Amino acid sequence: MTKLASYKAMKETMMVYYLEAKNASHNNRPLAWITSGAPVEFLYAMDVIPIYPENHAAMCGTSRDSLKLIEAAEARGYPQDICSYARTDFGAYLTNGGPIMGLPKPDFLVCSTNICRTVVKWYEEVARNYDIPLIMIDMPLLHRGLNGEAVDYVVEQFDYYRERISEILGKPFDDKKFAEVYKLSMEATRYWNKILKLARNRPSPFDSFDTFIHLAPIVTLRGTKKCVDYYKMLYDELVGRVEKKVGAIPDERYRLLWDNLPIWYKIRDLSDKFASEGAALIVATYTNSWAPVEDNFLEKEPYRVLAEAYLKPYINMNIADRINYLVKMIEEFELDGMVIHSDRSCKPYSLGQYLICDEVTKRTGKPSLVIEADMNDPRSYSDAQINVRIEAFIETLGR
Amino acid sequence: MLDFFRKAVAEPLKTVEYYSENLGRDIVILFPGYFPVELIHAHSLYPVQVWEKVGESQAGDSYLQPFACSLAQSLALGFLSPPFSNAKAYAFTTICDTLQNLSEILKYKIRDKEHLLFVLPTTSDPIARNGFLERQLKELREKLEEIGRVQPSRDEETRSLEFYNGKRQLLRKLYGIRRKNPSVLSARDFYTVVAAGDILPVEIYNEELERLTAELSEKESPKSSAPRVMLNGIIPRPWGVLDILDSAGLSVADDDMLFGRRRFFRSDLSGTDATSYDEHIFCGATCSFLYIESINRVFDFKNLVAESGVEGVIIWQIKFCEPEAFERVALKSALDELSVPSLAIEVELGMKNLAGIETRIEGFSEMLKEKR
Repeated sequence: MTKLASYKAMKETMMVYYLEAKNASHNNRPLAWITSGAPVEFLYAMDVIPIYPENHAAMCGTSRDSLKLIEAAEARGYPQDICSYARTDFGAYLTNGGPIMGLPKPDFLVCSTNICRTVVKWYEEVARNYDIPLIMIDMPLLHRGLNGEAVDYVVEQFDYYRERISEILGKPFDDKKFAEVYKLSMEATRYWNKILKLARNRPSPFDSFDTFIHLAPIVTLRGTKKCVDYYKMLYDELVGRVEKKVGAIPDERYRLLWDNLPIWYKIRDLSDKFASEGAALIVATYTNSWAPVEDNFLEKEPYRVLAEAYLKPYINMNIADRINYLVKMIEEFELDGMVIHSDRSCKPYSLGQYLICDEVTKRTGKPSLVIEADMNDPRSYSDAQINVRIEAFIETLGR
Repeated sequence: MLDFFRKAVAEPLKTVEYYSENLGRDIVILFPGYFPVELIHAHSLYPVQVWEKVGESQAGDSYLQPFACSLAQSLALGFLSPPFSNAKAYAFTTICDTLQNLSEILKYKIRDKEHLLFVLPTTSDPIARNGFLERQLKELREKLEEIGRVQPSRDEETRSLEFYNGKRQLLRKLYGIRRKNPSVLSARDFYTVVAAGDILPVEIYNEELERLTAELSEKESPKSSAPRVMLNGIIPRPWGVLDILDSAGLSVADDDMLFGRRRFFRSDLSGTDATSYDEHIFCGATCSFLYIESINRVFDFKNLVAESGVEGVIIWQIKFCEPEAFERVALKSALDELSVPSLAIEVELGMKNLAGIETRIEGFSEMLKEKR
């Protein structure tokens, strides 16, 4: 992983964000839990602090706290078959454990189906536990690609969403503030997109392990000035590295794509392993999900722009579009292969990967490595087995 | 009395091919969910509901990782190459991430069959939900017209709707008979009768089911003293577990299963428009696969358990089924509040060795008897 000067600023930004959230009730600030792919702009427009249980679970994974929280959830009766993010957060709820000693209590919940249908069940459980309102925004998988009807459906729900927030908070929706938040959200997204595109350079100034870490603000703070400022700083730093031809790894021989969520508790180990083999993972379908850019966003209807952006994440694409997308990434970033994380906890991301790999390899000739693991449950990870597979894969790239 | 149903279930391929030819209707393979089956029927097609592979397993890759549930694995293996020669289309309902992705895999791999999809709206907004259903029904009709090469009149749609309303009414009657006296049919026989409804044409099935319910209503069965239990889950498979329940001296008095009650205890369809389907799908029995903001699934489940007067609940979990697994803690708490004991069993559809499950069910049965 790259030692970026911006890292310190990100850490501080995230610390302040969680501190504010933990003190929300003392400061009479409303707080909502929201899924990572849900339209947060509406919450920031109404001064609601958004909390992302997925981000929190990932943080527990990175700090290697997830296993004990998962075990606490399983002891309560939650089966091992359910998403390990959910189990991590259920464990944190039950024990007040994890790096921030549990998440602050929400006043209401916002859930979108564009990342999975698992979140529906997860948020229903949270709504039951806290006895609070749950706003569900449907953004179905784009079985027939992005089209006007899909966008209309989401836009229609935005009107409802807006009314529900207003009703819950007992005050009219702030359209003026929403316009500002929308602009900031688009600006942050634009920076994030520009950052990811810098990986087209040889050597790439960062790798996907860096973006997994530096993703936190775009997930949690998009729609705020802090977020824009942070990504501007990171972008400038990375451009400097490009100019000086400083790469993420010392000897970039292979350029790879990472598919699926990161394995949070193994980020450092995997980063070192791939670097030692001269392989830089420079594109990730996961981090790209927060980078859909609309060029003339100020001239367009904000609800439509947002609806399109939120419908478009990789995980919400049909299989044919996922294949086309990977082929495009391989060409655009001159990749040598793909590392596919078959994630036991994330069925919508993972089921179909075998077919996708076959088809992409047929079309590009680029090989893939499948790593069987779990994003937050370390019991599904075997160091010895995965290291051997990585070495064998890199060997095939060198032939 | 039961042979007709048993034969259909034992020989699904033969049964389906026979009726497809005799009725002159092409087959539409229906995957689990809440598909508007009435519309398929109205377009002179023959909907066949599948829950697992039919006939011999097809060779080849299922394209699914081992952590996909065995129901999806079985369907993928069995239907990458459809066992029915007259199958014209696949019909999917997006009830979960796994079946949603399986539908995408089949759509990509199988290009010579039509792919029908019914996306279950999952929104708090009732107006958007209705509009979404309306658009889907319109598209579905257009596709079915192409496949069936007919445009049914309103009367024909109504006729199909009446057949399926009739089927659900008869099944509800059967459930009522069983609740009153569970010993009237063994667990295996009861679910064989239900399963036959997925295979047989609705017209034929309704006639036979009407006869059966009439006979069972008049039948004088001795009241059983066996503990009454309820089944919760997706589908009562493998079949062998039902035999274990019977031999362990348990009487299945009701269920909360997708395969069973959740499909039939829905309000009758008053039409084939979006509003009618909205009411039909979202106002009936609650289900782990349906999101309905205004209805509390745990409360509904608790009421069902209390009303049915069961002494125990068997939580019949198919391994890796996430929507069901998420509810387990809440449902268990509801049962604890009612002081109704439960037994959770975890199965895979193709499971052969049921010895462990047998021991646990026997123990559960003993415990229920001692608790009296």
